[in-house]
Amino acid sequence: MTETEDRLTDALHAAARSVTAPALRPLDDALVPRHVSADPRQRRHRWLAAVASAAAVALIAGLAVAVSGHQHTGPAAGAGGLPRYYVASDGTWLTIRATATGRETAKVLYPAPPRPGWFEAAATADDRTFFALFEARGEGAIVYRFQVTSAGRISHLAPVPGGPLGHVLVDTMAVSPSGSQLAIAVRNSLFPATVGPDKVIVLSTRTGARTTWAGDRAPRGQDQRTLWIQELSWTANGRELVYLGHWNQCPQTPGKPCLFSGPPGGYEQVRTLNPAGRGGSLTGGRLLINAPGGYLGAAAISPDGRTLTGVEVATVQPAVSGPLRRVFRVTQFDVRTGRPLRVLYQAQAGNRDLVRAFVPGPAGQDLILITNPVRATVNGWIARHRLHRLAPAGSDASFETW
Amino acid sequence: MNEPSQHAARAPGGTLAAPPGDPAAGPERLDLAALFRRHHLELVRLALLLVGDQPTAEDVVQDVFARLQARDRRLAGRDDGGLAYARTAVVNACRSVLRHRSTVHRASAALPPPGVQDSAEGQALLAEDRRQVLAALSKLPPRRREVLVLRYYLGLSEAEIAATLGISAGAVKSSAARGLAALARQIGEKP
Repeated sequence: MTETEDRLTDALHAAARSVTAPALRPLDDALVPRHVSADPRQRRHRWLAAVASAAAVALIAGLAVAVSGHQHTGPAAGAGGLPRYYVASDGTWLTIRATATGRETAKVLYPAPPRPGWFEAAATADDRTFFALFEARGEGAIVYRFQVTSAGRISHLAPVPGGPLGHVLVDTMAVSPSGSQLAIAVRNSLFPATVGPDKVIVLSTRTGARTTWAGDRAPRGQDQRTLWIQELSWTANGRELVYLGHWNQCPQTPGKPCLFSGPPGGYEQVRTLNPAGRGGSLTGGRLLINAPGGYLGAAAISPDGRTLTGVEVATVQPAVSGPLRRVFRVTQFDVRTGRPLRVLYQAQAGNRDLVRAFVPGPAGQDLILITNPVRATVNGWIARHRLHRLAPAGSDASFETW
Repeated sequence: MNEPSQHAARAPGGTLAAPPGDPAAGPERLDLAALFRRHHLELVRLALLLVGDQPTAEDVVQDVFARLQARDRRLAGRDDGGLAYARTAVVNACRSVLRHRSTVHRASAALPPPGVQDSAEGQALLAEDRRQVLAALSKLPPRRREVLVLRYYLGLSEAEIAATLGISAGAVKSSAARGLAALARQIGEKP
């Protein structure tokens, strides 16, 4: 064996040894019926029951998001102020679906060959104009504008001025209600992330002019950290741009991967930016929420700028006894004080739930898409403390907006 | 540390000896319980090395067992007790997870590279030089990474790796050679 092979073998076995006591309880003999019937059908059923029992016991807490009751199909199209259509993407196709029925009304390939990886889309307040952002092979990140007709078709698909953004990784995007400005959070590297914080670019969709805010320094008194921006949102008047950012602790050696990403040692903040400004520091705006890392998975400002709605994935200790459980919770916060006002929705969460999309609607409904790498999605909108499932479930979508 | 040997249940050649006296074992069905008992840990570890975190690895393996349960009749009679199939299913599922992750950068950005665990124990077990190797491994294309993990973690032969991944032995050989060369370059060694 060469030295490389030795080191690789050693590293792989060391990493593997970190799994010592599986969280999954193995199928126990006790779970298999002792008296196996001679009838193969009955045997199979008992076996099924045994496996089902074992699986139920063994599945780590909340593999699937089991949404607690109160699920409804959508109202008639456009009713209740709901957007009539929503845009979904699986990374290859752009799909338009009717919100009320889930019916696919249009499906197009990306306008340029996309490099697999990421996709973002955002809608303006008119419920017709959308922006799609993806990485075109050989060109870098590029933004297209398109409209959705009253019949749900795509029209006027064209790139916005300003040209490609270069070979950047886009973390999130939000469009101002008028559609005149796009806010885009970008960074320069892919997983495993090298040290390099996000920037926020505000792009004029009319002229292509760009203004940049950089997060190159951690707040005073803090350790060096890397800022990842997870969510951007605008107030209705377009005067305030709000971001949810995670400050993660990373080694500051150039070229070294960020091995310690994630909640330990990190924290997250919701801050404002003035999109009419000339750019500058990402930490120059108002601090709305300061929380330990791993608290908020998404956050968006309300159109009037008074409240902030956040998606929290939390571990809950039962009041009396029993195992800890994970929940995702949509909470409204007071922007002035940063304190929670009310819980809008709560349901059981899975271990690997990821908030893929959280987009406030025009009449107080919040579109939400939560996926799990191997389990069912939560896909719908939240209104009046209920989750209204989008139909169909849209399990293939990796991103949605309305 | 109570750690069963990863190869303890494998007979030479990668086959699984039938458990004596097991009532569920028979020509018409897969002995899923035995497969789970003997190879669950190994499969979780394999998934961990491919996806990088234990919860996802456990999810992947559990999902594979759920699917195996549904297909046990079709797999009946395999002389390896379904291990090769399970291994292939785990590798494929890991590939799906990674592809799924990569479609949304937020997912991948929040995850550590393969083999790096968040727990204190995991941190202690992985010294800096090992981290460097694992970080370099995570940068390899999926196929090369899979070949190297199957070869240097599970100790599979070229033929077994080829069968697991559904590729030719030549492709295994070239993937391993290129993967090792790339790894050596990244960690500053001669291959």
